[in-house]
Amino acid sequence: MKDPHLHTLLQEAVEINAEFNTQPFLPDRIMRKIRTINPSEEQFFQMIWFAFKPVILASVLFVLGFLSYNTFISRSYEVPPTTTEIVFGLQPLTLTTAYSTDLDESPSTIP
Amino acid sequence: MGTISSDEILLDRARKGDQNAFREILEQHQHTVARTVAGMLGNTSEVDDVVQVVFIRFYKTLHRFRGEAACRTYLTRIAINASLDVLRRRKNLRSRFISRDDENKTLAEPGAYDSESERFDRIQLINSAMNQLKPHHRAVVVLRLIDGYSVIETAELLGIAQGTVMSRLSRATAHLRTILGPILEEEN
Repeated sequence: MKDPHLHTLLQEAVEINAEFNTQPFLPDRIMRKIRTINPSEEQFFQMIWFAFKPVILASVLFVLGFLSYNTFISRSYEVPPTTTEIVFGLQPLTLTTAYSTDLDESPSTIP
Repeated sequence: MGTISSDEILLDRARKGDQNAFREILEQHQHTVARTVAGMLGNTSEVDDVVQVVFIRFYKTLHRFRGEAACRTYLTRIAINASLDVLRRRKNLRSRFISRDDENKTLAEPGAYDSESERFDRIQLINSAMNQLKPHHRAVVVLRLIDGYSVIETAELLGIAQGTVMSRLSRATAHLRTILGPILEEEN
Protein backbone atom coordinates (compact mmCIF):
# COMPACT_ATOMS: atom_id res chain seq x y z
CA MET A 1 0.00 0.00 0.00
CA LYS A 2 2.84 2.37 0.89
CA ASP A 3 4.64 3.92 -2.06
CA PRO A 4 8.09 4.98 -0.78
CA HIS A 5 8.42 7.78 -3.35
CA LEU A 6 4.98 9.19 -2.62
CA HIS A 7 5.73 8.85 1.06
CA THR A 8 9.01 10.78 0.70
CA LEU A 9 7.38 13.52 -1.39
CA LEU A 10 4.58 14.03 1.13
CA GLN A 11 7.02 14.04 4.05
CA GLU A 12 9.19 16.63 2.31
CA ALA A 13 6.24 18.89 1.50
CA VAL A 14 4.81 18.70 5.00
CA GLU A 15 8.18 19.38 6.65
CA ILE A 16 8.64 22.48 4.50
CA ASN A 17 5.07 23.70 5.07
CA ALA A 18 5.37 23.18 8.83
CA GLU A 19 8.73 24.93 9.03
CA PHE A 20 7.69 27.79 6.76
CA ASN A 21 4.44 28.48 8.60
CA THR A 22 5.51 28.09 12.23
CA GLN A 23 7.05 31.06 13.98
CA PRO A 24 10.05 30.43 16.24
CA PHE A 25 8.41 32.21 19.19
CA LEU A 26 5.18 30.22 18.96
CA PRO A 27 5.62 28.60 22.42
CA ASP A 28 5.92 32.09 23.98
CA ARG A 29 2.75 33.19 22.21
CA ILE A 30 0.85 30.10 23.35
CA MET A 31 2.05 30.44 26.94
CA ARG A 32 1.04 34.13 27.00
CA LYS A 33 -2.41 33.13 25.77
CA ILE A 34 -2.67 30.34 28.34
CA ARG A 35 -1.84 32.72 31.20
CA THR A 36 -4.88 34.82 30.27
CA ILE A 37 -7.23 31.82 30.43
CA ASN A 38 -9.25 31.65 33.59
CA PRO A 39 -9.61 28.10 34.73
CA SER A 40 -13.18 26.80 34.59
CA GLU A 41 -14.87 25.87 37.87
CA GLU A 42 -14.33 22.15 37.20
CA GLN A 43 -10.68 22.75 36.33
CA PHE A 44 -10.25 24.91 39.43
CA PHE A 45 -11.53 22.16 41.74
CA GLN A 46 -9.38 19.59 39.92
CA MET A 47 -6.31 21.76 40.46
CA ILE A 48 -7.18 22.23 44.15
CA TRP A 49 -7.68 18.45 44.46
CA PHE A 50 -4.33 17.65 42.84
CA ALA A 51 -2.46 20.29 44.80
CA PHE A 52 -3.95 19.56 48.24
CA LYS A 53 -4.76 15.85 47.96
CA PRO A 54 -2.70 14.78 51.06
CA VAL A 55 -4.01 17.68 53.16
CA ILE A 56 -7.62 16.97 52.14
CA LEU A 57 -7.27 13.25 52.91
CA ALA A 58 -5.64 13.97 56.31
CA SER A 59 -8.42 16.45 57.14
CA VAL A 60 -11.15 13.94 56.27
CA LEU A 61 -9.48 11.29 58.46
CA PHE A 62 -9.15 13.80 61.30
CA VAL A 63 -12.85 14.78 61.10
CA LEU A 64 -13.91 11.11 61.00
CA GLY A 65 -11.73 10.34 64.03
CA PHE A 66 -13.11 13.38 65.86
CA LEU A 67 -16.72 12.28 65.18
CA SER A 68 -16.16 8.69 66.32
CA TYR A 69 -14.42 9.85 69.50
CA ASN A 70 -17.27 12.25 70.34
CA THR A 71 -19.88 9.54 69.64
CA PHE A 72 -17.99 7.13 71.89
CA ILE A 73 -17.74 9.71 74.71
CA SER A 74 -21.43 10.65 74.44
CA ARG A 75 -22.45 7.07 75.33
CA SER A 76 -21.22 7.63 78.90
CA TYR A 77 -23.70 10.47 79.58
CA GLU A 78 -26.78 9.59 81.62
CA VAL A 79 -28.96 12.09 79.78
CA PRO A 80 -29.20 11.25 76.07
CA PRO A 81 -27.51 14.05 74.08
CA THR A 82 -28.87 15.60 70.87
CA THR A 83 -27.17 14.98 67.50
CA THR A 84 -25.42 18.38 67.62
CA GLU A 85 -24.11 17.60 71.10
CA ILE A 86 -22.85 14.20 69.93
CA VAL A 87 -21.13 15.68 66.85
CA PHE A 88 -19.39 18.46 68.76
CA GLY A 89 -18.71 16.39 71.88
CA LEU A 90 -20.76 18.70 74.11
CA GLN A 91 -22.28 17.76 77.42
CA PRO A 92 -26.08 17.35 77.18
CA LEU A 93 -27.86 20.57 78.10
CA THR A 94 -30.17 20.15 81.10
CA LEU A 95 -31.53 22.65 83.61
CA THR A 96 -28.81 21.60 86.04
CA THR A 97 -25.93 21.93 83.59
CA ALA A 98 -27.33 25.18 82.16
CA TYR A 99 -27.18 26.88 85.55
CA SER A 100 -24.04 25.14 86.70
CA THR A 101 -21.07 27.46 87.10
CA ASP A 102 -18.65 24.57 87.12
CA LEU A 103 -17.65 24.01 83.52
CA ASP A 104 -15.58 20.91 84.25
CA GLU A 105 -18.30 19.01 86.01
CA SER A 106 -19.97 16.35 83.94
CA PRO A 107 -23.82 16.12 84.01
CA SER A 108 -23.49 12.45 84.74
CA THR A 109 -22.14 13.37 88.18
CA ILE A 110 -24.79 16.03 88.90
CA PRO A 111 -27.86 14.61 90.58
CA MET B 1 8.86 4.51 26.53
CA GLY B 2 11.05 7.16 28.15
CA THR B 3 9.04 9.88 26.44
CA ILE B 4 5.78 8.43 27.74
CA SER B 5 6.98 8.32 31.34
CA SER B 6 8.47 11.80 31.09
CA ASP B 7 5.17 12.93 29.55
CA GLU B 8 3.32 11.47 32.52
CA ILE B 9 5.51 13.35 35.00
CA LEU B 10 5.13 16.59 33.06
CA LEU B 11 1.37 16.08 32.72
CA ASP B 12 1.04 15.49 36.43
CA ARG B 13 2.94 18.70 37.15
CA ALA B 14 0.94 20.61 34.53
CA ARG B 15 -2.34 19.42 36.07
CA LYS B 16 -1.19 20.87 39.37
CA GLY B 17 -0.87 24.22 37.62
CA ASP B 18 2.88 24.15 36.81
CA GLN B 19 3.08 26.19 33.62
CA ASN B 20 6.76 25.40 33.06
CA ALA B 21 5.81 21.73 32.78
CA PHE B 22 3.14 22.59 30.23
CA ARG B 23 5.71 24.61 28.28
CA GLU B 24 8.01 21.58 28.20
CA ILE B 25 5.18 19.43 26.81
CA LEU B 26 4.48 22.16 24.27
CA GLU B 27 8.10 22.31 23.14
CA GLN B 28 8.36 18.51 22.92
CA HIS B 29 5.26 18.07 20.77
CA GLN B 30 5.10 21.36 18.88
CA HIS B 31 6.81 20.00 15.79
CA THR B 32 4.65 16.86 15.63
CA VAL B 33 1.47 18.94 15.90
CA ALA B 34 2.73 21.44 13.32
CA ARG B 35 3.45 18.60 10.87
CA THR B 36 -0.02 17.12 11.30
CA VAL B 37 -1.69 20.51 10.87
CA ALA B 38 0.53 21.40 7.88
CA GLY B 39 -0.35 18.04 6.32
CA MET B 40 -4.02 18.78 6.72
CA LEU B 41 -4.02 22.47 5.74
CA GLY B 42 -1.06 22.74 3.36
CA ASN B 43 1.08 25.82 2.92
CA THR B 44 -0.91 28.44 4.80
CA SER B 45 -0.26 30.89 7.61
CA GLU B 46 -3.24 29.29 9.37
CA VAL B 47 -0.92 26.45 10.47
CA ASP B 48 0.53 28.64 13.21
CA ASP B 49 -2.90 29.65 14.51
CA VAL B 50 -4.24 26.10 14.46
CA VAL B 51 -1.20 24.81 16.38
CA GLN B 52 -1.98 27.47 18.98
CA VAL B 53 -5.64 26.38 19.09
CA VAL B 54 -4.56 22.74 19.54
CA PHE B 55 -2.40 23.49 22.58
CA ILE B 56 -5.01 25.78 24.13
CA ARG B 57 -7.65 23.05 23.72
CA PHE B 58 -5.21 20.58 25.23
CA TYR B 59 -4.58 22.89 28.19
CA LYS B 60 -8.30 23.31 28.77
CA THR B 61 -8.92 19.55 28.77
CA LEU B 62 -5.75 18.66 30.67
CA HIS B 63 -7.64 17.62 33.80
CA ARG B 64 -9.83 15.27 31.74
CA PHE B 65 -6.85 13.62 30.02
CA ARG B 66 -6.09 10.58 32.16
CA GLY B 67 -3.22 9.26 30.04
CA GLU B 68 -5.06 6.26 28.51
CA ALA B 69 -3.57 7.32 25.18
CA ALA B 70 -0.07 8.70 24.64
CA CYS B 71 0.19 12.47 24.79
CA ARG B 72 1.21 12.53 21.12
CA THR B 73 -1.88 10.56 20.06
CA TYR B 74 -4.18 12.81 22.10
CA LEU B 75 -2.61 15.94 20.59
CA THR B 76 -2.85 14.45 17.09
CA ARG B 77 -6.56 13.82 17.60
CA ILE B 78 -7.09 17.45 18.65
CA ALA B 79 -4.94 18.62 15.71
CA ILE B 80 -6.98 16.60 13.19
CA ASN B 81 -10.29 17.84 14.60
CA ALA B 82 -9.11 21.47 14.69
CA SER B 83 -7.84 21.17 11.09
CA LEU B 84 -11.10 19.61 9.93
CA ASP B 85 -12.94 22.60 11.50
CA VAL B 86 -10.72 24.98 9.51
CA LEU B 87 -11.24 22.99 6.28
CA ARG B 88 -15.00 23.08 6.82
CA ARG B 89 -14.92 26.87 7.30
CA ARG B 90 -12.58 27.21 4.32
CA LYS B 91 -14.94 25.17 2.14
CA ASN B 92 -17.85 27.44 3.04
CA LEU B 93 -15.79 30.54 2.25
CA ARG B 94 -14.37 29.10 -0.95
CA SER B 95 -17.78 28.24 -2.30
CA ARG B 96 -18.65 31.93 -2.01
CA PHE B 97 -15.52 33.93 -2.73
CA ILE B 98 -12.38 32.10 -3.87
CA SER B 99 -11.66 30.71 -7.30
CA ARG B 100 -10.40 27.15 -7.79
CA ASP B 101 -7.50 28.18 -10.06
CA ASP B 102 -4.85 27.23 -7.52
CA GLU B 103 -6.17 23.69 -7.30
CA ASN B 104 -5.55 22.86 -10.91
CA LYS B 105 -1.82 23.39 -11.12
CA THR B 106 0.18 21.24 -13.47
CA LEU B 107 3.82 20.29 -13.34
CA ALA B 108 6.24 22.63 -15.11
CA GLU B 109 8.16 21.35 -18.11
CA PRO B 110 11.38 19.64 -16.98
CA GLY B 111 14.36 21.97 -17.24
CA ALA B 112 12.21 25.07 -17.31
CA TYR B 113 13.40 26.14 -13.83
CA ASP B 114 16.56 25.94 -11.80
CA SER B 115 16.70 23.27 -9.07
CA GLU B 116 15.48 25.53 -6.24
CA SER B 117 12.44 26.86 -8.05
CA GLU B 118 11.79 23.36 -9.41
CA ARG B 119 11.73 22.11 -5.84
CA PHE B 120 9.37 24.94 -4.85
CA ASP B 121 7.17 24.11 -7.81
CA ARG B 122 7.15 20.47 -6.79
CA ILE B 123 6.08 21.33 -3.25
CA GLN B 124 3.35 23.57 -4.66
CA LEU B 125 2.10 20.71 -6.79
CA ILE B 126 2.07 18.31 -3.83
CA ASN B 127 0.14 20.88 -1.79
CA SER B 128 -2.26 21.34 -4.63
CA ALA B 129 -2.73 17.57 -4.94
CA MET B 130 -3.37 17.28 -1.19
CA ASN B 131 -5.85 20.17 -1.37
CA GLN B 132 -7.87 18.26 -3.93
CA LEU B 133 -8.41 15.37 -1.54
CA LYS B 134 -11.57 15.30 0.54
CA PRO B 135 -10.81 16.36 4.16
CA HIS B 136 -11.49 12.87 5.56
CA HIS B 137 -9.27 11.24 2.93
CA ARG B 138 -6.59 13.80 3.70
CA ALA B 139 -6.79 12.95 7.40
CA VAL B 140 -6.11 9.29 6.61
CA VAL B 141 -3.14 10.18 4.37
CA VAL B 142 -1.68 12.47 7.03
CA LEU B 143 -2.03 9.94 9.83
CA ARG B 144 -0.84 6.91 7.84
CA LEU B 145 1.79 8.30 5.48
CA ILE B 146 3.05 11.38 7.28
CA ASP B 147 2.61 10.71 11.00
CA GLY B 148 3.24 6.99 10.60
CA TYR B 149 0.27 5.65 12.60
CA SER B 150 -0.85 2.07 11.93
CA VAL B 151 -4.23 1.25 10.37
CA ILE B 152 -5.62 0.32 13.81
CA GLU B 153 -4.35 3.55 15.40
CA THR B 154 -5.65 5.65 12.50
CA ALA B 155 -9.06 3.99 12.79
CA GLU B 156 -9.15 4.69 16.52
CA LEU B 157 -8.00 8.29 16.09
CA LEU B 158 -10.66 9.04 13.48
CA GLY B 159 -13.37 6.90 15.03
CA ILE B 160 -13.89 4.84 11.87
CA ALA B 161 -13.55 1.17 10.90
CA GLN B 162 -10.18 -0.23 9.79
CA GLY B 163 -11.70 -1.16 6.43
CA THR B 164 -12.75 2.45 5.92
CA VAL B 165 -9.19 3.59 6.66
CA MET B 166 -7.82 1.22 4.04
CA SER B 167 -10.37 2.12 1.37
CA ARG B 168 -9.92 5.88 1.96
CA LEU B 169 -6.14 5.49 1.84
CA SER B 170 -6.32 3.47 -1.34
CA ARG B 171 -8.55 6.04 -3.06
CA ALA B 172 -6.48 8.97 -1.80
CA THR B 173 -3.13 7.49 -2.87
CA ALA B 174 -4.56 6.59 -6.29
CA HIS B 175 -5.65 10.20 -6.70
CA LEU B 176 -2.28 11.52 -5.54
CA ARG B 177 -0.43 9.15 -7.90
CA THR B 178 -2.49 10.43 -10.83
CA ILE B 179 -1.65 14.06 -10.09
CA LEU B 180 1.92 13.49 -8.98
CA GLY B 181 2.62 10.90 -11.66
CA PRO B 182 5.31 12.92 -13.51
CA ILE B 183 7.22 13.65 -10.28
CA LEU B 184 7.00 10.04 -9.14
CA GLU B 185 8.32 8.89 -12.52
CA GLU B 186 11.23 11.33 -12.20
CA GLU B 187 11.98 9.96 -8.72
CA ASN B 188 11.99 6.41 -10.06
